[in-house]
Amino acid sequence: MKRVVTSGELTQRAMRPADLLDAYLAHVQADVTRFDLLRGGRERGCPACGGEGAFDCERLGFSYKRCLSCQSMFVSPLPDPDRLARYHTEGDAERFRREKVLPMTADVRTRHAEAPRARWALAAAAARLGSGLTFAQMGVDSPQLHELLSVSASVVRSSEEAIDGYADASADCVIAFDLLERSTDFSRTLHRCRAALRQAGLLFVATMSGDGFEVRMLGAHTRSLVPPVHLQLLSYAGWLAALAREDFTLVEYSTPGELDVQAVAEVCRRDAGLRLPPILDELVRHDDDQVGRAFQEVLQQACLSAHVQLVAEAGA
Amino acid sequence: MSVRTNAARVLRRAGAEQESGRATPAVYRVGIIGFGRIGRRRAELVVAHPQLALVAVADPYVEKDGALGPSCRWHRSAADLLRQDLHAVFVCTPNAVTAEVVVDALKAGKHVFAEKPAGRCLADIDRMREAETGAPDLIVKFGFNHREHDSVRLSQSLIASGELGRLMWMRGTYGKAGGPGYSDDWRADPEMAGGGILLDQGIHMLDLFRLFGGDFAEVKSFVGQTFWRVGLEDNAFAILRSKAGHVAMLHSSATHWNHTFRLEVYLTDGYLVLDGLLTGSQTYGRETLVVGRRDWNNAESARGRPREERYYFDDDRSWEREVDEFARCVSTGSRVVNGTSLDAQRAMDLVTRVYADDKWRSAI
Repeated sequence: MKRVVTSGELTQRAMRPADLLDAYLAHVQADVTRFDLLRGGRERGCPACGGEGAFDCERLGFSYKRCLSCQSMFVSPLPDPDRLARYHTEGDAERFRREKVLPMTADVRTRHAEAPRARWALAAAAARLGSGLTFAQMGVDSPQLHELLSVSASVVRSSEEAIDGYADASADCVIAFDLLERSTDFSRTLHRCRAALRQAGLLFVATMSGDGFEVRMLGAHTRSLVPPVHLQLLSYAGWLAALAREDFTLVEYSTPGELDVQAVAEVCRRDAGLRLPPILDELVRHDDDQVGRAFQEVLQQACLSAHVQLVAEAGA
Repeated sequence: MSVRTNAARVLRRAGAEQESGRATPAVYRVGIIGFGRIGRRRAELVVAHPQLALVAVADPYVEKDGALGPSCRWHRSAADLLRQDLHAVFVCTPNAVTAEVVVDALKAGKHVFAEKPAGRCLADIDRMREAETGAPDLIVKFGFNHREHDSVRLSQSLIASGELGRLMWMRGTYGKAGGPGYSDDWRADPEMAGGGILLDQGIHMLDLFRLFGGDFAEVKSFVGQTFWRVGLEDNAFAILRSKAGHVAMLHSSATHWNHTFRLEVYLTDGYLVLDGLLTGSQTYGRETLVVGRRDWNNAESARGRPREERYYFDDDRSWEREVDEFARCVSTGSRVVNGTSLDAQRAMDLVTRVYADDKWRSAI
């Protein structure tokens, strides 16, 4: 197992411009009402390990629970899947994200998210499996990612709904970036990823972490936490449990997120009433930028940054 | 070696097994010659391997270890062990003995895994290669385990992908402190070791230079004895250049009071820094690989502060992978990829040329 730590000059301002994020969250709030997502949901246990959850925080009217067993975080009651599907296909929030947020942050996302992720997956796959590999790219459609992967691998693209089409255990690698957190049936989606892989094939996951510093410090104040999208944020223990159930072996677990400290500092600046534990407050707001960067690196090394990248190997 | 040659080897071995009335075994009987620190480590891996069974050990100085069980026979000499019905042997002896034992093992029809270095000098490895040529059905592999470290494997994969461009230069430092018992170890005995820190440890770095950059045409060096007065070099500085123009700088040291492994590899579009190494002694620091890219479209990168990705590695599976590869080659007849006798010969050739350029008289 190895962990990836990145260092660079990425800023919260460049990746998540405050005005764009405010506008996006306003659309989310409106769509939650428009599609009546808070009505008719069903209570559920932890999607990672099946454990019981206890109330953690409320965000945009949704209740997040923490699993008492594995500490994963999940929305419960889970919104009605049909309404949620309409939110994604017809809603203004998703349209705004596609038409405004993504294009306006495309350059920084490519440089700091999509290209590094693609290179990470390609390098790890080649180191373990050799060359001439077939990747199945599942979930959220990303032409850029597809293009980056296609340079040195055969790539089959698929939406989540079409994953069944690849349940033939033929893929060398499955790419599941920004997919599993938004699935209304986490276990089924993970099972489909497994079914697409050959024995000893590799699953690459990129998602938000339930252990991350930002969400643990800020809870409901976490601006990047969008309940209709982030239905479950698994902890490390949660991933171990979920992957073991599908006969995966975890071979790498990294949290290379670069923005936790900046994100928490920004929320603290916006909300003067918000109080962190004093020593963390001092570290996060420190005048010396180098302190913030060093603290962010510590979070990455401890696998406590906001975004997870993991590799799991399919068993026999 | 071609696929056809591999197939021929498998068929020949199958034929030999048939003639002798034996089927290809599910488990291969293995002996270990030399039961010091390295021999014991190999023993653990052999015992744990599903295709191998440790049934013999030979060491003139080590008393029988009951933990290996009654089925493991103990011998005082390699010759006695080689008379036992074995498929393969691990040769974990001091350098002075390696060549003779490997040659005898091949003559006795055993597959051979031998620790690096391949003897004390080129003449030793040449003898072993000659014996290997005379035993085409047998596998010969040398233990250049650094090739199997995760940081090295990932680097190799990144270099091969071409995404970091063309190799320009490498700079490697590999050093240890020696320590209080250094002068009493057989490695500090010129007759037994044949060379000092360069032959013992620096040869790994030279092997990695070859792995990443191919062979080198020119060698310049300074070699010396600066602290440990044992008659062997304790520091070697070398600059190597390939025909393609890659330059590699090596510092191999036994006076590096802080144990250090660091290899920088610079390519036209990026760089790799392998720092620290997971080893048995756990003293070379955490194994990391930094990957950076030249990106002059980015202001910070253009100012010499590129974005870097750092990989941390938690497990050393290099020894296990070596034994896996050996077992796979023995059972399938497939060719050795890492640690061939040619790799061993080329690494020894570089060591010899580093000594020669500074007119350093190696012990042999």
